[in-house]
Amino acid sequence: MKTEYAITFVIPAYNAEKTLGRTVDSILGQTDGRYRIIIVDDGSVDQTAGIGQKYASRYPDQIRYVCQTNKGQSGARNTGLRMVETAYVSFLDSDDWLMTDYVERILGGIAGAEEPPEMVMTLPVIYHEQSHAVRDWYDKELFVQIFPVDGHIVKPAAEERLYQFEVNICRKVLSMEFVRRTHFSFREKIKWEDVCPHFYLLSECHRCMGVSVGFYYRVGESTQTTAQTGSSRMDILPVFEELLAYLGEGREELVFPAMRVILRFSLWCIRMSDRQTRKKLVDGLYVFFRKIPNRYIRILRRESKRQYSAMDALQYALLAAALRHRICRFLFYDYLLQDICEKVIKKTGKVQNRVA
Amino acid sequence: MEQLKSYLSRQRFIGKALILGSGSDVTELSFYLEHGRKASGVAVCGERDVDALRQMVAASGIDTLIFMREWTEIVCQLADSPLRYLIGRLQAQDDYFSLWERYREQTEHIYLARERDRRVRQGRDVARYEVLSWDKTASPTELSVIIPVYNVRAYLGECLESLTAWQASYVEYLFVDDGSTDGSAEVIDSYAQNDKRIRLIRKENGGCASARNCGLREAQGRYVGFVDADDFVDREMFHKLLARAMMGGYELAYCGYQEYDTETGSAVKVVNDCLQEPYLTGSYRPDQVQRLMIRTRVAIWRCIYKRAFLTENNLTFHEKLARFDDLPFKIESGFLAKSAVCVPEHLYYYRLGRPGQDVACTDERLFVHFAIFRLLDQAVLPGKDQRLIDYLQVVKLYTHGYALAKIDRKYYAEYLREARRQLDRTAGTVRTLLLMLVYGGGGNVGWYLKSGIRRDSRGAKTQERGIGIK
Repeated sequence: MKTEYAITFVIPAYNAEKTLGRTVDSILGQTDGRYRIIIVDDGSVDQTAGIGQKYASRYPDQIRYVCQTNKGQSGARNTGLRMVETAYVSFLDSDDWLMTDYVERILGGIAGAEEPPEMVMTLPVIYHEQSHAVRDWYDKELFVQIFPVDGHIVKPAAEERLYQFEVNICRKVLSMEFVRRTHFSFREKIKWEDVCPHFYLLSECHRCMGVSVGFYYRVGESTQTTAQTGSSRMDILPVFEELLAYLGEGREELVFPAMRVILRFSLWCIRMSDRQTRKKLVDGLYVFFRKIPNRYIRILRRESKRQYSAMDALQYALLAAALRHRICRFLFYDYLLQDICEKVIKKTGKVQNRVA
Repeated sequence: MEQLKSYLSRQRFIGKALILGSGSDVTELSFYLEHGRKASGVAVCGERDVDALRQMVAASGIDTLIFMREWTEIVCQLADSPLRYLIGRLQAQDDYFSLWERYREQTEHIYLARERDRRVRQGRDVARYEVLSWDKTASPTELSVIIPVYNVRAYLGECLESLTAWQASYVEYLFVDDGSTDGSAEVIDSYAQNDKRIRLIRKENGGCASARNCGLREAQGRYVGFVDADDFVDREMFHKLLARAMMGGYELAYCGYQEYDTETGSAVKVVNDCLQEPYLTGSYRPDQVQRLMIRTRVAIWRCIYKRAFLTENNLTFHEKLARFDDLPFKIESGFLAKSAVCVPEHLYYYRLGRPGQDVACTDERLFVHFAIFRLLDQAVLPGKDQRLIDYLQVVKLYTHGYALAKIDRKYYAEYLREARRQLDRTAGTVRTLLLMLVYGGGGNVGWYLKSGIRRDSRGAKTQERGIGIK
C-alpha cells in the first residue's frame, strides 16, 4: 500500500553543506513516515547540490531537490511552496533540525480535531551551539497559557495574545488549503521576511491549533542572518512600512502586538549593527517612527501596562519617544550612550516600583 | 529530559540501549528511542545492584548506557565493558570528572548533562543544564601544557615537580628549550626519563614567543595551557581547570594566582582579579568575555584555552615582539572568545624578584607597548565594532598607566607624549573620559589630562619610535 503523505517540509538551502545533512536526517529519523521533503538549493556555490541530489536519488518518492539561481530565502521558500502536493506544509531552515516525534504529534493533533486546523503553532526549543544547552522557547509561558493541551484550537479573533508570539515562520505549519485561500507567498528580495506574514496569516486564520513539539532553533553561531551586523539590517525598514500600512487598514487588535514587535526589533537591530550601519539605521527608523500615529504609541503604552507591567510600559514609551525625537535619537548613534540610557531607565523604574 | 533528547535527536543510531532509572521520564525516553528507530533494543533497569548490573551489561552486549539522576555513583562502578555511548543526567554536586576519567578509554562518546544549582539559576538568565560532550579522538591527550624555557635552571625543579604531581595520563608537558646555555635542557631530560608525559623540544634561541609557538605547533591536547618555567603551580591547578572547562565546553578557563617572593618565600594572593560572577557560573556572552580582558591583568599562564579555538582563529604569539608577547595574545584571544569560566581559587604561583625578569624593567624597554598596541589597533579597528574599539582604549589606558607609574624619570615625558598619541588614534578626549567613567580606569585621569595639556602646548609631532621591534 502506498503511504499517504500528509506534510511537506520546505528547506531553503544556501551554502549549507555543513548543516543540511543533519537537518534532512532529523526528518528521515521521524517516528511517523507520512512526510515529503523539498530541498530548494538557492544557487549555492558549495557542496549543497551534491548533498541534496544524493538524498533525492536515495529517497526518490519522498525527497525532491530543486536548484534555482539565487533569489534569497523568501524566493526559495516560494519555489518550494508552489511544489507542495500534501495537505500541510512546514518550513525548516537548513541549520535547524526537528524533534524526533514532530510529524507524529502534528498529524496526531490534526487527526484528533473535529475540523482540520488552518495553522498549527508549534513550540521550538532553543539550542545553544557551543554549550549544547537547551532552553525554553522565548514565549513558552504564553504558549502553555493559550494551548494548555496538545491539539487545543483557538480563534485568533477571539484570542489577541496569539499575535504576541515570536514572529517565526518555521514554527507555523500551514494547511495548503489556507495558503491557497489567502494567496499567501513571501515577499522576495528582502530579509526579515517572517515579520509581516506572522500578522497576515494569523489575522486570516480561523482555526489555529497548538502542539508543543517543534524544531531545535540554533543560536550562538555568527554565520546566521540574525547575527550579521552589516547593511542587511536596513531591510527591516520596508518590512516595517508594509506592516504599518497593513495596520492602517483598520486592524485595531493588531496595533499593540505589531508596535511591540516593531519597537523591540528596532532596538535589537540597532544594538547589533556596526558603527556605520547604525547611524543610517537610526536615521531611517527616525523617519519611520515619525510616521506612526501618536495613537498607536498610546495603545502600546496602555496595553503593555495592562498585560505586562508599568515598568515595561514606561520603557517602551520612553524609547519610542527618543526614537521619534529630532535630537534624542542621537543617543542611539552610539552603543555606549544607549547602554547608559537604558541603565538609567531601568534604575528609575526600580525606584518607582519601590515607591509604589 | 529535553536536554538528553536534544542530543539523541542529533545521533543517527545508538544500538542497544540500557536505561538506568525509573519514573515517567524513563518510560517516555524508552518509548522515544524505540519508536524513533534510534535504538535496536531498549532495556530499563531500576535496581541498584552493581553486580547484577555488571553482568547484565557484559552479557547482553550493551552499546549505550543512559542513566538518570542519582545513579552517578553506581555507573562509576560499572566501568569495564566497552560502550559506544555513555549518556547521563547528573545532579549539581555529582563528580562528573571522575566518571569521565573512568569511561574515557573504553567509550566513544560521553554526554553528561549536569543540572545547575538552583541558587545559581535564581533570577539569572542561565540554562538549566551544563553539558560535557566528549567524543573520542585519535590522540589520547586532553591537555597540553607548554613551558618555554630559557636559562632558568635554578627554578626548573620546583616547576617540574609541581606540574607532574597531578598523576593524569592524558596530559602532556611540552618543555620548549629556547637555546638555554645553563644546562636547563639536561634537567628536563633527566625528569623526562622517569615521566613519559614530559617532552623536551630543543630549538635555537628565538625569544619567548617563538618558543610558545613551537609548543603550540606540537601540542596534541584539546586544551592548552602555558606555564613559565620559573613559576610553579598548585598540584590540582590543571586538574581543576580542565574539569571546569570541559563541563560546558568553554573556550577559556582561568583561576586566580599568587605572587611568590623568592627571597622571603611568602606568597600573596592577588585579589580584585575577576574571580566573580558571571564568570563563576560560566559566561557564553562574548561581550562579558571581552570585558574580562579589561578587568584582569596580563596573566595567560593561569588560563587554559581550547586548542580548536586557537587554530580556527589563527591565534599565535607575535614573534617580532621583543617582550610582553603575552599581552597581544591575551587581548586577541579574549576579544574573539565566545565563552569563559573561572575557578575561584589562587592556584598559580608567580615568581617575583628573579634577576633579569622582563616585567621588572623600568627603562626604554617599556616602549615595546607602542609596538604591541599598533598590532592590536591593526587587528581590532578594521572590524568596525565600536564596543571592541572602546575596550581596547581602556586596555591602553591601564597598560600605559601602569608603565608610566614605574618608568624612569628621564623616559617619562617621551612615553607620556607617545601614549597620548596612540590613545588619540582610537578615541577622542570626551569619549575616553566617558569610557573611564563607565568601564573603570579612573585612576588614569590624571596623566591622561596632563598629556593632553603637554601635547597642546608643544604642538609638535614627534616621530614614532621603532623600539621594541627586533
